[in-house]
Amino acid sequence: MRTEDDIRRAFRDLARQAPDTATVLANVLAGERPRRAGQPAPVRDRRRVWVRLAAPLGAVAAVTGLAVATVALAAARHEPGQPISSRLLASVPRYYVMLVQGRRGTEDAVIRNTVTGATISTIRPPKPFFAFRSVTAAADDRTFVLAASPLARGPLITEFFLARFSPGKRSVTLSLLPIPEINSYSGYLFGLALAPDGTQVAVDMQVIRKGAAGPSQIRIYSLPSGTVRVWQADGSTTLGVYSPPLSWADDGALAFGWSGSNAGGIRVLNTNSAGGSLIARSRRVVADHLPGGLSSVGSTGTLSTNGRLLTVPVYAIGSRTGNEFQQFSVATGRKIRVLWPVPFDAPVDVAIWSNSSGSVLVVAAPPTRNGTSHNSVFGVLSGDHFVKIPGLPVSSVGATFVAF
Amino acid sequence: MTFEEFARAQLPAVVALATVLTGQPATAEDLTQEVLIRAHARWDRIGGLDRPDLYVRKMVVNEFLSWRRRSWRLVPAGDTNLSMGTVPDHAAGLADTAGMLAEIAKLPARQCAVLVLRYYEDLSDAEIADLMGCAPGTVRAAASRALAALRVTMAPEQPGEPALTQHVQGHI
Repeated sequence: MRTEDDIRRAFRDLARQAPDTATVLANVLAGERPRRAGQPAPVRDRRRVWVRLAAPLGAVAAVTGLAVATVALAAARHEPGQPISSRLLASVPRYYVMLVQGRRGTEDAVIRNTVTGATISTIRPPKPFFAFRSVTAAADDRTFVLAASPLARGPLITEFFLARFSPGKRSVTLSLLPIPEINSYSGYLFGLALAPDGTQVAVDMQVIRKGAAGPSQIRIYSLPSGTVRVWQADGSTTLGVYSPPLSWADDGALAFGWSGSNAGGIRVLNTNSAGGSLIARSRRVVADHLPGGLSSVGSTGTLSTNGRLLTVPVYAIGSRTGNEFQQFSVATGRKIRVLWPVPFDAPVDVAIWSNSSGSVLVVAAPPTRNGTSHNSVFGVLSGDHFVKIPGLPVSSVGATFVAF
Repeated sequence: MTFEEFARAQLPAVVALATVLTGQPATAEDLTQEVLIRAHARWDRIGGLDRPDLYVRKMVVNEFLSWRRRSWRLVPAGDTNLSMGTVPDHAAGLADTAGMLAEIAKLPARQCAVLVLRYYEDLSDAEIADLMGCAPGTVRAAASRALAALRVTMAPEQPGEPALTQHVQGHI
């Protein structure tokens, strides 16, 4: 399957370079045919497109005409936002999964189109399971792992399912994974991360021993075989690994938050290593208190898929001047850039997806930076542009309920 | 469904398909534009179909094959001279993405289209056959030849061993 997987990955990467659909649509409605071989390349001047559109648009349906006009006019004035919104939405995975309340009280999973927000498929927990509790996605935007629990008295049981979505058929194949259940006698499940290639899943949990909290572990299970490798925190701690989501890069790096004393912050585990000590086998990239004591790093970090950049939500606690996303070099721990600074009370919550270079992110943040909105929403963040993703509610639902 | 409704819902997917087929965003823009202008002119008929999106995809694929026949396609991005013999396991896959795209671009157009429809659009062989106007067996043969060619060209090269060529390719 290796060649096929490489082909899928290559096509996915290529699809993310797709051109802006607004320009295509404007040219189509203007009846502008592309150049032929031997003809000089036309100057792609959006202002000229707008001028050419002015007459034909008068005859076009009002809604679409207005939309195209808005796009073209905004481009001519170099206004941020609208002209690049479709491009930004098209630059992240085409589908996402979100857990929602089902009609019969179940907790279902829905697969949605990122651009339109349309629900493409609904996955209901198979009996006797009642609720999906957490979800994680592979890099192909159509392979997911769902944690599910039955409605039953007694210990809370969690088992794991593999969901494969076929966009052509709009169907989902759900299969129970050969991974031991986690129940409330054996441990607490904190977070999940599916490897980018969809062959392994990382489980972030705290072990229960004799009814008391034991050490924190990250377990990595092979999906086909269920074989496991375990990294465990040294000694026993009730703090341990905390706050999902985990983030898994193509090079095998896995980012997790850690609250252990003297070593708290965002650490990166080399999942290509054998199991063993979680701390010895991982490396802290960002401390939980940044220099100067003014900022506290949030509990989650998101790796760019090439594994080189770590994006972290940062909260100012001393100056009360604001909060923001910061990006750090995984290799050196050095701060590279600041993204989307907002007033203190406006929350930046979490980054849940990054492209290869870290230049395009899916985050929960206020849709504007003017401080008028204190609600954070999921959107695509790139440079100075933030575009809300249709169909996703405010981030209070929690990042473990959404996977890209 | 009006043309505008279709465009609003389907255009990103259509443009993405064209991008994957052609390997070039600029070429994809032109190809999509060409197809949609024709679709727009005939929307009274196309819009009444059960699946106008499939019909437009068919138009995109046919246009791509037609462009390839006219040798009008640009060479896709990607370094065809990537070293493929030394990087181990997972990292190799990452490094070879550009190389993979370059090798796919060298395939005959119909094999390339079959790979895109199978591994990007996730269509079944029967659906691909219907879309391309050929038998499912022809689709399977094309996919098999394309995969065989890619496995040969993307395989690590042994020192001192002559580079294998694409002798397993064939047109469908």
